Amino acid sequence: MASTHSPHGAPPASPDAYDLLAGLTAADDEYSHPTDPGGRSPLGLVLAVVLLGLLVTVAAAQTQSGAPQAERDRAILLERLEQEKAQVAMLGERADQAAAEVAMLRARTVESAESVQALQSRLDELGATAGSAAVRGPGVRVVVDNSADGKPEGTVLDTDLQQLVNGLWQAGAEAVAVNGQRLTTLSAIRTAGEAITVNYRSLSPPYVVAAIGDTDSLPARLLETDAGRTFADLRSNFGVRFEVQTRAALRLPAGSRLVLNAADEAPTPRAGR
Amino acid sequence: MPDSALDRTRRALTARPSRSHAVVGVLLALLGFAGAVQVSEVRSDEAYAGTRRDDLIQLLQSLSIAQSRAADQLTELEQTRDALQVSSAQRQAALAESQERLDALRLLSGRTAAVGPGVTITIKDPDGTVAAATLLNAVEELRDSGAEAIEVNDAARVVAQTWFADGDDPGDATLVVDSRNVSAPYVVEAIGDPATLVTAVAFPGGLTDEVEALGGTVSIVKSDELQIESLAPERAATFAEPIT
Amino acid sequence: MIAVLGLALGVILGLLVEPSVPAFLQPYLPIAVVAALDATFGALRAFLDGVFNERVFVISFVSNVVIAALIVYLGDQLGVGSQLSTGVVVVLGIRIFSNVAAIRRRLLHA
Repeated sequence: MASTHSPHGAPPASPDAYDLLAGLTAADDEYSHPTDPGGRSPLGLVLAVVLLGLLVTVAAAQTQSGAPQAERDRAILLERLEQEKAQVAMLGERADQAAAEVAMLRARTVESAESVQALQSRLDELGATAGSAAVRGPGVRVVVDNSADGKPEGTVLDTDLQQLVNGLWQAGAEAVAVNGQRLTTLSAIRTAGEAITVNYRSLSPPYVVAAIGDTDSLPARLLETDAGRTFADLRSNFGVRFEVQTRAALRLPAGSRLVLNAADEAPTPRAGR
Repeated sequence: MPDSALDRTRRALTARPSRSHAVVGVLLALLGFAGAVQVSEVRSDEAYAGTRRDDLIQLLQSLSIAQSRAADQLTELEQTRDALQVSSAQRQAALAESQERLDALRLLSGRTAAVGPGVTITIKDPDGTVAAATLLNAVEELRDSGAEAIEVNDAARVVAQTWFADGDDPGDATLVVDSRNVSAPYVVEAIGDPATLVTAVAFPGGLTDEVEALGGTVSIVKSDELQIESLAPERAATFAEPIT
Repeated sequence: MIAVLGLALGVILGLLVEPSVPAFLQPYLPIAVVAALDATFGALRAFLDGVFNERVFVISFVSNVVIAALIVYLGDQLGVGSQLSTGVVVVLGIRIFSNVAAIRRRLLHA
């Protein structure tokens, strides 16, 4: 690299184009052209040396005097450096920890989201028959009312409604509501004074009993039950209104107050019961 | 070259020491000394041994920037974590609540055994005159008085869809509950508040009077812990679709 | 011969004594060593070429060390200390490399 055009890299002949690289890489040529020692006066040399020594000494002394302060500054700097490093390291550790916690929480979110969904669908499923969920579907709409003449024989009693609902269950209804009151395990059809109450709510006639089930079989099976026959007799004998309408889309509301106060879950006993 | 480098080297190594040799030796000793010192200095444990003050300051500045960036990152992460913790706790609570509701629904649907205070009502029907309508009415009375779980003859669990019908042979003292035959005496167990349940049955014109008018007897026993173990059959909603 | 002995002696002394370098000298010591190395390799090459001159060696040794240290010191005062330090080391390094190359050529071809 150094001596492409000059042997042992002597500086190039042309003084105008100074080749920096060649100049830098030129092998030391001080030895090839030693300055003539004889012609120089020793005084000049001594002076030069003394001056150089003075310069160096002054520079050294100046640096030396600033040394203790510089030393303290440096010590402070180094200490702060260590502190900052420790701080950054600690922050990093805490960040890693927090990141791990976030990852775990996110994973748990996914898990519980699935559980929530699963639970919700089971609640809906069970709620359809238990009465806690509003439902829709095909079924029958049975309208009963007191006879037009207002005679006591033509009045619909709570026991009549009980029978009707019983007949609907027997005929295969899946969900039943009376005048908008959904029937659950806790629902009772009773009388309070003059009015029939369902779910402790007073109802006034006409009584619309909506039942969701198989429209192909429900009406026929209802008429075959004791309830169906009883109401048919009431209609023909006393003018009680009794209409069974088939509906493609019925909507039953959810039941309220499905709360347990006394009963607790017990371990399920041996199978085969 | 008459005087080869190797020859010169050999001669130099075996020549007699002279003043110029001494001078060179001293200078090289200095070099060796300084070099050894520098090497051990670099090897020393002291961090930043040779670093300049300016470089140290620059390092400090960049560390400072790194530190504030790390602090920001940490704050963000911790905020995310806290938010996630809150929503996780909420979700756990919601899950627990849903599970509780599910358990209650299962009990109400007769899919789990139940235990609690209540009454045991024994209806004796020697003449076979008690009809399904009487039993149905009694069940409605019990429900009206807060019965949460009802069982007939330790076999038939009464839920919303439970229906009652008379047996095929009248006077047979047999009733049908959910297609299951039950024979007198009819033992009806109901879980609820015992005192209220007793009044449901014993009030004037109620079940007791009705049955006695038909020639039967009614006895009621209160209990602190009643076990209802029979389960209702699983009923799938084929036509009823829940509206979510 | 003494030259080689001197070098060895210096290294051993340096390793044994292990003096701690005062803080204000710390940045200049490596520069001084590299500058002295440059002078030494130059002397070695000159010796193998047959033009070694003791006086030139002494002067170049001392002046290399002093001037290199002065340049870096000046740089520190001006705020370009590390840059000048790098520059000086680079140049000295190039010169050492080319001297060593010359030495190699001399040893293998002669």
